[in-house]
Amino acid sequence: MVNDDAELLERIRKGAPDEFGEIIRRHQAQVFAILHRYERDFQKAEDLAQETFIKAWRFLDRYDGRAPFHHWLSKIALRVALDHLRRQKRVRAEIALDELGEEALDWLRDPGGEGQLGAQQAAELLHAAMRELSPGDRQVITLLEIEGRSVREICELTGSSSAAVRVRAYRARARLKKALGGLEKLKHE
Amino acid sequence: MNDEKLKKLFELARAETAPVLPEGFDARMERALARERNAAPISLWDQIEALFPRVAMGAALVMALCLLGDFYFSAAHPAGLSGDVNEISEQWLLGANGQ
Repeated sequence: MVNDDAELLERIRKGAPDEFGEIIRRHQAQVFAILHRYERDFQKAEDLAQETFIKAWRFLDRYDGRAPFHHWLSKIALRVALDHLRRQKRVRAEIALDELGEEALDWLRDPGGEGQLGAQQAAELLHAAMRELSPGDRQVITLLEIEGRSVREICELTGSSSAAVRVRAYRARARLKKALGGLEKLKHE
Repeated sequence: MNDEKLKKLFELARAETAPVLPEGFDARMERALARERNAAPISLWDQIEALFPRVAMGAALVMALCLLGDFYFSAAHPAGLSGDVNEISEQWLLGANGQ
């Protein structure tokens, strides 16, 4: 059993392709967790995870080992997620209230947000509101506010400048507030 | 929605535990990879896609160089109507006299 990713990758490069299965087992949870932030449908998220590993396999010779392997793999997963968001049609009216549940909507109506709201409901609520954002803005706000990554990390992962990340985050927050405000109003009507 | 409430919503969403991966994913993945190994080589499109940021930056650089070059040569050798007319006349005269 090889503990180190680098050693395992070296073996794959030297002609042991079956060892990639071990790479999948090691990193599948991490990849799936990233993709689930952007696609909450399990089946679709699994398809995206599969796409991520296939891309990693195809371009394995481009991994130079300077950064940890999971970092490189995360970049591929984020790229796959971004392409997926771009493929999806952005329809404003798509936010279905029944998708969110009564509790989430009650929480939205409460001005101080003091009521009970579970983590999953909060994530669903944000996911619904994020449909109003562009794919790039959505990715930046997810990395920054939900995954809790630093601006520097986001720059490394997305290849954007620090200024671009900050601008996107500012714009995304404003649009999110507007979208969530719209949901509050819907509930009142 | 105020900033405080949005912040709270982010905090709550951050606490969501990662979902459990569908069972048998690794086996399905290995089968997909086996098909991939036996499939055709990587398409040109895939390669371009992988190189996208670098290709786009390269193209932008070439365009910028062309624009700068054009600007420089236009400034160094300004086009003048009389010069152009003289050049055409010379060519015409030389051509007409067969010299």
